[in-house]
Amino acid sequence: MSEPISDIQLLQYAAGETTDDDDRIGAWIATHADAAALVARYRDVADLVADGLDDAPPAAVLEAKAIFDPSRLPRPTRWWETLQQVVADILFDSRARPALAGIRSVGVAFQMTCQIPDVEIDLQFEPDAEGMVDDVASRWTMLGQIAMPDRRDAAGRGSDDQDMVSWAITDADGVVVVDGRTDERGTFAATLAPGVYTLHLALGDRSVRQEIAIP
Amino acid sequence: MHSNVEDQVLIERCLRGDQRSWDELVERYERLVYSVPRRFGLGETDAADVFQQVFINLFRHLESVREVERLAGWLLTTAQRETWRVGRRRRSDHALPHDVVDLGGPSETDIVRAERQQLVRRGLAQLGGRCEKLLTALFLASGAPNYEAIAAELDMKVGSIGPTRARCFEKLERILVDLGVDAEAGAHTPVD
Repeated sequence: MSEPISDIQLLQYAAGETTDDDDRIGAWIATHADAAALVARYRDVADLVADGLDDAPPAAVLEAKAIFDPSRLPRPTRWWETLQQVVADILFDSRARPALAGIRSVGVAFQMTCQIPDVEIDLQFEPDAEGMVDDVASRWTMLGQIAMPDRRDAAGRGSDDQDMVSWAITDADGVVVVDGRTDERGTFAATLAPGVYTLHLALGDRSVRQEIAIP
Repeated sequence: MHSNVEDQVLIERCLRGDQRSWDELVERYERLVYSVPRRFGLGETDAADVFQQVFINLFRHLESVREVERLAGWLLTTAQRETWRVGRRRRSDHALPHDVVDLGGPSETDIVRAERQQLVRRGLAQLGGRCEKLLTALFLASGAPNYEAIAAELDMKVGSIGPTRARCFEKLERILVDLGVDAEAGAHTPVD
């Protein structure tokens, strides 16, 4: 019985490196499928590597890398752009009522209530104590709640829970600052820096929008 | 070194503004793209123009390309189209020695081969180190490899080339399996 052919010999053979054992290796391959497969795989890979793919000049590769410009990337479609846009009416803004709001200041909490038919949206803004610099808040916590029609039936059966709603806040450039879904009570929260924002809420096939200005 | 991240993931990251993912896409496909105009006879300058235009198109169409199942096929098609366009311009300038014909896009065989080439190159890059250098030198040798030259280049003994090749090829095969290269594809190659 002849001595087994090693993988080292098989790869030599696959690479076309002539040895005194070529006839024996050929005979071995003819009767051993594993050996034949290894030789074939080696030749296949070698052929793929040696298939004359040219390296691009380094300068061309650098230029191709420099093509990338994040500011020119396509802006993805936002969910609120696919829905019917509805602007909420402001029912109440504590900043417009000094008697309720107390001393008006850039660092004082305020509240807004706005609505569309059947839905009220309550927004409360609190300055973040840790973000106060010279009585000016650099960060605010916004707590929001959506109040929808009572879904309980006349007998009081049902749940106080409401559908969780997608919401997002975009900045003046339309960039999403924060987004998420409300909890089952319709509440949501965000931390925001002073600025002008738009709140988007997905309510059925409508997208409710409300401008928010944080001092 | 190239990562094992899927093309689609890299494209997603590019769309989120990640320059490194773009760099990796360029590095991953630079040879494939550049080889198309060169194979069709374009000179280095024209080939570099084609190369840039293909990647400009890729950047512009990142969002739609994200839906493309096979980026290699998209790049091959785009590279052929750009090659044909530049080739036509050169032909009218009498600057090209022969016609660049419109082949109507790469065949399925071309695409599959390009994908496999790409993955094998990635596999070698992942292998890295002496194994990558040794296997590349052996694969690229025309005819029987010159062991003495390779040993000198890689600072190793001639006698260790065979055993090292066997170990390195085994490692490469494991990487290729992880990359999804069809290990059986070569098994049907006729054996001499």
